[in-house]
Amino acid sequence: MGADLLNALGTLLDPKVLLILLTSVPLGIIVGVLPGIGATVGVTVLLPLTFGMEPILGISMLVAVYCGAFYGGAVSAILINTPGTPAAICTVLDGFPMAQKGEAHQALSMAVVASFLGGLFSVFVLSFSAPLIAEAALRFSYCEYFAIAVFGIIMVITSSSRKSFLKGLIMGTLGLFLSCIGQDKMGTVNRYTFGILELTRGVPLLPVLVGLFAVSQALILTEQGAKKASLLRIAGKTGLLSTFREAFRHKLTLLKSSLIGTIVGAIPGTGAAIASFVSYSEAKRSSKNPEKFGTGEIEGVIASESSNNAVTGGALIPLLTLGIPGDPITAIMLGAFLVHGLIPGPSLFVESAPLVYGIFITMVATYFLVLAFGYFVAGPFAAILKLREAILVPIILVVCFVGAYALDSSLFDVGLALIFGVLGYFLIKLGFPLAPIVMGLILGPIAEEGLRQSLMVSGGSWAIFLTRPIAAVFLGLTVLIVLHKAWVLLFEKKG
Amino acid sequence: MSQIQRDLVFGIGLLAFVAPFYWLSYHFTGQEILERARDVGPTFMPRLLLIALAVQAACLVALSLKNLLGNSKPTLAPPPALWHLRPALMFASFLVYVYLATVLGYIVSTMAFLALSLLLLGERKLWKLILLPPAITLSIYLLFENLLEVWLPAGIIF
Repeated sequence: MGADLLNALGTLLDPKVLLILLTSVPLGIIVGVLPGIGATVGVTVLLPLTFGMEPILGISMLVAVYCGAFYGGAVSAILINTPGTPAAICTVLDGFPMAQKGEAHQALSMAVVASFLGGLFSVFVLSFSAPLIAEAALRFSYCEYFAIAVFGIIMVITSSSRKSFLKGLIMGTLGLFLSCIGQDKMGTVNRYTFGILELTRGVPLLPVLVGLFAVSQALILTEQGAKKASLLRIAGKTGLLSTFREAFRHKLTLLKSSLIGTIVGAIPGTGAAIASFVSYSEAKRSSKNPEKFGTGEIEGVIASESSNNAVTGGALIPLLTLGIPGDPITAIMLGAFLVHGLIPGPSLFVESAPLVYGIFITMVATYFLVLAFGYFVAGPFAAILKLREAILVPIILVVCFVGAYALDSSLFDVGLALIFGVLGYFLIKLGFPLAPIVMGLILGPIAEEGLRQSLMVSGGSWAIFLTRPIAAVFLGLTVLIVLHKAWVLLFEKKG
Repeated sequence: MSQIQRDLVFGIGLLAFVAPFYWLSYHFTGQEILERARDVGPTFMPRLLLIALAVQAACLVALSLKNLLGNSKPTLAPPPALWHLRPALMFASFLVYVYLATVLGYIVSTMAFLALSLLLLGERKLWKLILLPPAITLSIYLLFENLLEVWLPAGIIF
C-alpha cells in the first residue's frame, strides 16, 4: 500500500491533473456558494465534461468539485445567512452572527482552515482503511452484497425522508423496480422494454441523474424568480497562521468533529448535514461556554466545517471498497466510474490500484487548493452570490441537454432526462425525496443478483441469510429500522 | 388541493400503475424456459417489488383517508394560481429547444433558447440579452467540441 501511495504521487507531476484541479476546485467552490445549486446539482451538471477525459482526470475533477463545494457552502452561510449546501447548515448558526459583528473574514478563514484540516483527516483515514476493507470485501458472497445493498437503500430512505418514511420507502422501491427494466442480467429475458432497443441495457443512470437532480432543480429555481441576496461585507482581516493557531487551540473539537464526519460519511445514507449537526451538538455539549454557541462562537464554525468536509473522504469508503454509494453525490461519481468502464468495488484495488491511489493523492492536493482559493480569493467567490437565477437556470438546462446527449449522442437519453426532470419536479412538490429512487436504481442490480443467487444456492430458503454473520447483522439492522419507523407511523404519529 | 389530497391521488395513481405492470410480468418474452427451471427467475424481483409498491401505496391511501376524515382543514394553503406557469413555460421552451437542436443544430438553437429564457426569467437589460446568449453558447461549444472532444448535435445551419 505504501509503495502504491508513493507511486501515485507521480500523478501530481502530470500537468493535466494539476490544470484540472486548479480549475475544478474554484468551480466546486462556486457551485457550493450558490444556494439552490449545491454539490449534487454541480457535480451532475459537470459530469458530462468528464466523458472525453482520461479516468484519473475525470474522477479527480468530480472529487475536486465535490470537496470544493463543501467549503463553498460556508461562504453563503456566513455572508447571507443561507447555507449554499445543506452541509453548511450549522455554519450559519455562528458564522452569520460573526459576520454581523464585523468578523466575517475571521469566520471565513476559520471555515476554510477547518474544512482543510477535516478534509485532510478524512483522506488520511480513507487512504489507510479503504485497502483493508476492500481486502476483507473480496471474501464477501452474494448474501453480504444483498444485505449491504438493502441496508444502504434503507439508510438513504431514512435520512432523506424526515417528513414521511413511507414516501421515502415508496421512492426506494420505485427505484429498485426501475432497475428491473431491461434485459435480465442472469438470463436473456427482456423485462418491460416494450420493444424499445435502448431499454434492453436498462434505464441508463446518467439521464436519470441529470433529470432528477439538475432539470428538476432548474425548474424549481425558475419558479422562485429573480432574487438578489443582501451580502454582508467581508470585514476584519485575519492572518492564515493565526487562524491555524486559533483552530489548534480547539484541537479536541477539531479532532472529534473530523472523526464524526469521517464515520458518519462512511455510513450509507447519512451525509454531511447529519455529520454537521452531530459534531456541532457534541462541541456545544462539551464546551465550557455552551451558552455562547449560536451567538458567533468560532468553535461552532470549526465543529461544523471540519465535520462536513471530513464526510468527503468517509463517503468514498463504501463507494470505492464495496461499489455502494452512500449519497446522491457519490452515486453520480459511481456513474463517472462506469462511464470510464471502471466498476468500483474490492477488485478496483487490484485491477486499477494506480487510479485508486491517484484519487487519494489528488484529494490531498484538492484540500491544499481549497485552502489557497478559500483564503486568498474569498471576495470574488462571495460576489458570485449576486448572480441571478435568470442567468443560472438557462445555463444549467443547456448543460443538462448537452450532458444527456453527449454520452451516446442519443436523443433517447435526452428524452429520459426530460421525463425524469418533470417527474422530479412534481415529486419535490408532493414532498417525495429523490435520493432513494437513484439509490434503488443503482443498488437494484446488486440486490437482485445477490438475492436470486443466494436463494438459488439455498434451494429457495431465506434462512441462508442467517447463516452468514455479516449479512445477518445488516439485514437485522434493516428490519429494526423498518419496524421502528412503522411503529412511529402507526402508534406515535397523530393526524 | 391540500397535501393530504395530493397524497391520496398519488397513492391511487400508484396502485393503478402497479396493476398493469404486474400483469405484464406474465408476458416477458422467453421467460417460460427460465420459469420452469427456478422459482427465482426474471419475474421474481419485479413481482416482489410490485407487491411491495402496492402495499405501500395502499398504506398511503389509507393514511391520507384517515387524515382527510379526521382533519377538515387542508394542511397546505392553496398555491398561487400562476405558481406553475413559469416552470411550465420554461419546460415547454426547453422541449422546443431539444427538438430544434437536432434540426437547426446546437449553436443557433442554443442562442435562441438562451435569449428566450433570459426574457422569460425577467432579464430586461438589452446588453445582457444581446451578449450573453452567444457568449454562453460558444463557450460551451468550444469546451465540449474542441477541448473535451464531446460532439454536440449538428443541424442544417451548424
